[in-house]
Amino acid sequence: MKKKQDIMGMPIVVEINDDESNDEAFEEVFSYFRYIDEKFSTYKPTSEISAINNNAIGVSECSDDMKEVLRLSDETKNETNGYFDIKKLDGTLDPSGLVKGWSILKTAHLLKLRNIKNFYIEAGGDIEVSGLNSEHKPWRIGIENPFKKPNETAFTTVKTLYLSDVGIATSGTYKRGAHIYDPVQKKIVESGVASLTVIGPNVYEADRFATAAFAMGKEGIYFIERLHGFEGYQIENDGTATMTTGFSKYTKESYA
Amino acid sequence: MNNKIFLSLFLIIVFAGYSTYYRVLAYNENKQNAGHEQNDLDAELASTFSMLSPETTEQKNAVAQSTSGAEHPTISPATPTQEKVRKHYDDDDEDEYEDDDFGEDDDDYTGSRANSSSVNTSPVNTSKVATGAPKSTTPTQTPTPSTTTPPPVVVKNSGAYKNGVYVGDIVDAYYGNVQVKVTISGGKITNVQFLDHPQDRNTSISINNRAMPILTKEAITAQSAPVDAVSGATATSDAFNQSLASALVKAK
Repeated sequence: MKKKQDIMGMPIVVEINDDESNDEAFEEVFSYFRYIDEKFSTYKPTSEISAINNNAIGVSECSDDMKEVLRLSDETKNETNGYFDIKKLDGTLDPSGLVKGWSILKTAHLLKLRNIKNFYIEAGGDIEVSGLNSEHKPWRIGIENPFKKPNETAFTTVKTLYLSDVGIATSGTYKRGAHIYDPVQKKIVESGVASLTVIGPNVYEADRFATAAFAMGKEGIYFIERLHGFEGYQIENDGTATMTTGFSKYTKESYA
Repeated sequence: MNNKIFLSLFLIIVFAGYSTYYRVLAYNENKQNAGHEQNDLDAELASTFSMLSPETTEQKNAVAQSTSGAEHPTISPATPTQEKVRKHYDDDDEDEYEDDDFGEDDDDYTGSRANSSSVNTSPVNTSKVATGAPKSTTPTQTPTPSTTTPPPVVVKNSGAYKNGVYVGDIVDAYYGNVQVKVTISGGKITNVQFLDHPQDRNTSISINNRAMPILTKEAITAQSAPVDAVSGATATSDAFNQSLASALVKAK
């Protein structure tokens, strides 16, 4: 069964294939995303992150979940040599680049605690897949066509992947001539990349490295190549795609 | 006999040293070096953007000179150039690999000294970036006409703006916030600047270009394939345009 709700300004889709009725499971997942939205949304003046950014509370006084997200953000910043950074140009913190993948992973754990094994959870284009789909095969996940016109219903993908027990995240901006802020060179530079899809051991990992790698422009795919356990597919503005050396294992319908 | 034992011990010690080194390398695997191709901006792009950061003052002056006569500042995707902006390689960032002359690579680690090779089929430069503060690199302001590049985001200038300097909204982009400052002179946009935040980002990164594997490339094929789900960057917004538009509203 598949259910969808709009939370955190994006569609959240959950599909569960296990036999038992899972209304409670679905509700638990959607409730968790609402909780995350209330806490981490920079668009909500009542959120905890807004309180931190307004100096109403200090980092030391914040909740355990907030502390965990801030700590993980710091780690990620170090691991990516500054290319992932939740501190924005105006000095405020916006951890949404990490919270999305992190919260999907949390909800995946909630389902696994219910002994649900075959599912996927998607939020805004990031997906955690577990087990097999309704045909008892790896989940078929398409990479979105970054040049697709809005509202177009055909030619929506450029690649079909067969995934199980991994996370996938895609960074991108679908406007040509997109510019990215390079936090290391401290410059706005031409991105040249329409989208970068990363597959990793789980969606939290895929998301944070996709975010960091996208800030590196065309070099991003080489960063992913170096990361053990991650594969990537980078689409440039001219429609050329570059893939990491192990990527092709995900394009085959059956793995060994 | 003793010589053989001594030789064996020696080899064991050397091997232990090598394998420890590889473990250290693997641990530091994530210490990434990212190079950047510093694309040249074409003249119109250059006349539209300039950075506030002090190290690009030269660039700013060059921009100011090429501003006049630009009626329709456009943001075009930069065309890759042959010219290396970085004139030299810093050896500082190679320190931890100084002893790397083993000649064989760990499977998971793609670093070993080799010539920096162009891994793209088209001629683009992959230049190493300095450690520490970015050096002042002045990209050549060569006007390069767009060839096969897709249509740029066009900022229309109708001449209907009031002179002055206007700051746009802070707009959330995927990579962070974007805020622009627009200068209107003679009723036209004469300068657009990204407002930078003076933070101390002193991390350095340069791609380890040694023995980069050649990555497979392909032309993408748009499909209407049946899938269970799609991974895409749905939360997209052209933050620059939004912020710019909001600044221009104030200029009317």
